[in-house]
Amino acid sequence: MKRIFLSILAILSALLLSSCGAYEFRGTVLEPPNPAPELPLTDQFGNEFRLSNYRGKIVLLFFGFTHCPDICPTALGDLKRVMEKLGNDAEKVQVVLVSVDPERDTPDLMQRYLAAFHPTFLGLNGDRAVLEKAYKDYGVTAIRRDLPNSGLGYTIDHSGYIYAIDQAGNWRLLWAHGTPVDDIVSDVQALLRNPPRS
Amino acid sequence: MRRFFTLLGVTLLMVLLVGCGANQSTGQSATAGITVRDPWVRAAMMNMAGDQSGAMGNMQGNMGQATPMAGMEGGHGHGHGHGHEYGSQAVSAAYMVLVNNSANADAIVKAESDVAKTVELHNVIMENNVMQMRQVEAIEVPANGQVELKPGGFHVMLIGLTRDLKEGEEVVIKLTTRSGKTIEVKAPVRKP
Repeated sequence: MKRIFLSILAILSALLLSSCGAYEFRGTVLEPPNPAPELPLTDQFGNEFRLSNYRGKIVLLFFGFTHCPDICPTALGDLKRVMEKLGNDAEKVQVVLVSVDPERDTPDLMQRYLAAFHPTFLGLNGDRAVLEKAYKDYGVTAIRRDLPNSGLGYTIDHSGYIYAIDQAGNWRLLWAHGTPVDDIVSDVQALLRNPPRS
Repeated sequence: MRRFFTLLGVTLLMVLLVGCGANQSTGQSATAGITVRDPWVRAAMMNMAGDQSGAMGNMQGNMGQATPMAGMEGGHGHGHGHGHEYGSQAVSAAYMVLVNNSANADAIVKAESDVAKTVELHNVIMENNVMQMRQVEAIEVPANGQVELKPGGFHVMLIGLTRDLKEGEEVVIKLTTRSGKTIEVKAPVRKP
């Protein structure tokens, strides 16, 4: 009888330990994690950008545009708060906005738009063919819609996901628009605690 | 003792009821129609190169984007003039709660402000996590109801800022209702 008790106890404690060890991500986990497609683009300062230069860091990726005064600033404002809440760990995180409106997202406008959020945020633009490939690679919808009566001329319907690329360059997570800031912070901290073996 | 408590309860209830009634009546008499609560404008910076041609030249020089630009214009049948007209402009948005204290439905049909070249009413629709921004003719405010202009929904869109909108400043926006009233809103500028 005592033996049965002991074995039950052992099983229970094993269960407990395993559940403690496994963090459950709040975002959508991509299994298995695949290498994130390269983004051979240019940032708002005219510097060449390569994802491969960010190994060891977590890259948080968002697709948007500067003429989007509503949803994009909300997402970027959330990412700014994520950086603030991460404290010193923010150094290990790079936030990147990829343009879905290359014609109007001039370097100048990108600089001013992003500076309003965080000095480290990068805004990428580049050749249309390269951008189109990036949208496809990341499953991003980016459709131009003419607004005939609007001073804007046109807008871009676009996906609102935020993507996480881990320290080994693997595409690991995605968060739907409106995911609470604390959930993103929690997931990023989990990735920082358990860096992938590369 | 018990009687005393009952009495106290009834008195309190009466005070409450009277209080509510009074509030409502003053609210109605003071403002028939739409009133605005908690307005704010998102901080934004103007385009550095205020004139469009400057911005274009900058872009082509730095990014080598002459080709996609030409492709876009051709593909959508826009003349060269259109390309310039819809060139880079700084934009922002204003948010607020529109409260309708009257028994008649009303709507905001127009917005104006001197901080932007164009001011429009917009809405954002989310479908399968794809965001779609659309211009709307009016923002309807039901009778004795309210509608919230907030990120991810209805907003007053400021297109082509004429100046930087810095935190702590105030922006004046003039709204016109369908019933023909104008409402002047002083909206503080807040960080994005």
